[in-house]
Amino acid sequence: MIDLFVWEWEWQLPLIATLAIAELGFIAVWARRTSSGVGERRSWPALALFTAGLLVFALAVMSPIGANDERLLSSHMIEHDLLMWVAAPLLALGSLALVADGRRLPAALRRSIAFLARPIVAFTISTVLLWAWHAPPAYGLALISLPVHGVEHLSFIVAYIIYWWPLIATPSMLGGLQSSAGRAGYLLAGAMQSGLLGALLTFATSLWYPHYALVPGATVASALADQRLAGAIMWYPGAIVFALAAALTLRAPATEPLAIAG
Amino acid sequence: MTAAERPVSTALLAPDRSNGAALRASMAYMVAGLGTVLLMGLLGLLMRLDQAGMLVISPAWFYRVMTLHGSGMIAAVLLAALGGIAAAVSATTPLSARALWIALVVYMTGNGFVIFATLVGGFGGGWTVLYPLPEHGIVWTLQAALAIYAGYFFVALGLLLFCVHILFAMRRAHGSLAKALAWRFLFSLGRDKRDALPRPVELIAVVIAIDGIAAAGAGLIYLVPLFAQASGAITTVDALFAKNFVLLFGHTIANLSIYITAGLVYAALPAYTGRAWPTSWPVAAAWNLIIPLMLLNYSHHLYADFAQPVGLQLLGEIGSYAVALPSFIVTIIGALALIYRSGIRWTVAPILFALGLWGWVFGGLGALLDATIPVNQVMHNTLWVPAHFHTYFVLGALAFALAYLWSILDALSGSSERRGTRAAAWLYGIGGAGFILMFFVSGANSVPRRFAVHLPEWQVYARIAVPFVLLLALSLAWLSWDLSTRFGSAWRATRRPVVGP
Ligand code: HEM
Repeated sequence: MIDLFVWEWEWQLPLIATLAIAELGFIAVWARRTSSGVGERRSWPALALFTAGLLVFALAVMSPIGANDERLLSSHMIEHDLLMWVAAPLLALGSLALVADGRRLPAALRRSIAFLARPIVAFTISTVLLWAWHAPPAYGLALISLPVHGVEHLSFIVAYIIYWWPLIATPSMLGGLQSSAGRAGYLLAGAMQSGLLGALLTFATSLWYPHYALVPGATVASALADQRLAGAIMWYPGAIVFALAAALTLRAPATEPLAIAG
Repeated sequence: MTAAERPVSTALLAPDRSNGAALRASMAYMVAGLGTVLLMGLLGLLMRLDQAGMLVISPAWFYRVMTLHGSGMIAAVLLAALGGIAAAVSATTPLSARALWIALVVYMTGNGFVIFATLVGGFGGGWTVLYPLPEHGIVWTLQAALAIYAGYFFVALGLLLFCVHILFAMRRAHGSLAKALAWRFLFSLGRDKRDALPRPVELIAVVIAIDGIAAAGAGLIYLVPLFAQASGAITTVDALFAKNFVLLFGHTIANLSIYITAGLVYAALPAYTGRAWPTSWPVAAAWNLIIPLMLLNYSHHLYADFAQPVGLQLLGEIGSYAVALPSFIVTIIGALALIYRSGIRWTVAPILFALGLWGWVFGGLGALLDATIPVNQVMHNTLWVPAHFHTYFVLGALAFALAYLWSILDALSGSSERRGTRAAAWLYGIGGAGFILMFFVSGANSVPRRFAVHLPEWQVYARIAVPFVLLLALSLAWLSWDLSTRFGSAWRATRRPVVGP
């Protein structure tokens, strides 16, 4: 199975251009916001986080990991892991400073963020997109069409920026989850739904994506072994990511000095 | 004043009223634990129906269900117990709600792995995951075995985080662990009272945190070579080493639930009897003794292993007997003395506490018999074994945990008790006793444990057990419904003003 892995980079000009535009756009907004005063400091970490997020995105798609995604399902799942669990939270963290003060955003944008950042909405979007793109017909389409594949990756990024938002935003911001109970429940729900998909893939006894058995040099048996590995790659690191996210996002609540009555 | 505005008067709240957040986290543990118990209980019913020949499931599914029921129940009762002890301790020892929530997420992630490994992956090697069986399944793959190991890894990690936090919190609150374990008082035979003594429940929290860390450590030590073997880094694992460590892990976490929930009796019973239960010398001695004894008694599960050194077998036998002295004599006699002529009102929580004491005694007697080497040789693979541990789980630990959650929700919500619910509490005892008795009778008649298909002549025991299980299910549903009606107002009360000191 490992023989199918080819050490090559896959430079994609449209993607590079899109990421460059995103970075420049971010810098423009960032510079205006942070230099316009109103007590805001120039947030270099925000810029660094956002840039790191875009770099991970680029690496996931264009490095040998992404370049092998049509040959090996396991490589494809590493790519998805990087998009959902590394790039998306970095991008969300970077953008945080820009929308920290919701009052300064245009009303329509504020309303959209507030809607998307509702935990139930964010969870539903991320879950539906993750499962829908792993359904064999949609996945098969992404494998044969580069634009569809691009849309798939972009939608993972967007869906998971939306997923991480309620955890990353502080309660005072748009959409921040207020309570530790809510955060813990939300994290567990996210871990369980992606874990279940990983488990189904790990334990499947038939090929979900026959394409991988048709790759020159592959067999049905090797593709099945690769599929098992791919499921584990979605499942196990996901659990670690969610456990780490719990450590980072479950904050100590402000102490509650309850007044003495009576 | 509406119920929602009523100030809370309870020993649960810290003097500076700052433990609301820790209480909420603790309540989440208890509710998650008891909710899981209900689901796993349904799987138990399914197995008993199958063994009675009243509903047939395939052997492959029976073993999946058995594995999930066993591991799920052990994890669930432990979770409820951990929540209880955190709630009880938080009134006098500041705990970090953040640490509690993180440990909960990690722990529940582990449960997710176990559920998927069994229900999706078909793993059916039993909750004990005894090496090398998990890796040689015919109906499940190596991936399923690895997934169950991963589940245990996260559960052990969650437990470890919880216990380490408790230990640090206790050390901070009391100045040192020696003080939190009342050692000066203990070793001076009760004469030296210079150090402020911990409350019994605090002392017990330290004891279980130490043993919890040892158990979690053993689990992790067990898992590392198994993962190494699966990855091809090593070729074999010594089976006796693996068995010792997996039992040190599994048996100890099963024991932890029982001892933690006994700690809850110390915390809650005085409120019902109106008598204090102070940290006397016997209490300090008993619980300090439990630290080594709880780690020794697992080896009564290895009597059938001829390769195990005889010294360890004897240690196991002595440990199993010796642990009865501190736990039964001190806790049971102490609790009975507290109840005797106290004028206690037999409301739901005291009924459940009393049932728990009863279950502890009978389960313990069953365990003592099983820990006796000649008896063990005959009984160990019969239903006698599930009988003894179901006794002190269903009628002991679970009853204590339910009682404690009840007492917390009662105190916080301030709502009055429904008369019918008391009947449900008694029904719990009757259903539980009948169900367990049939396990004992089956064991005494040499019906083997872990058999998916029972011979027609064995089915009669399971058939008699089924109505009792249904009674148990009914009472649990009733109690849970009643608890759920109090939960919201109790949760909100943790944010409300409190009365008095
Ligand atoms: C609620 C009612 C319950 C019912 C009806 C029930 C029923 C059963 C049955 C039929 C078995 C299989 C016995 C065999 O043939 O070996 C079993 C096993 C087991 N039960 Fe329960 N049980 C209940 C509650 C509990 C509780 C509260 C615990 C707490 C820890 C528990 C832990 C276990 C364990 C550890 C096993 C052994 C699994 C294995 O061998 O891998 N059960 N139970």
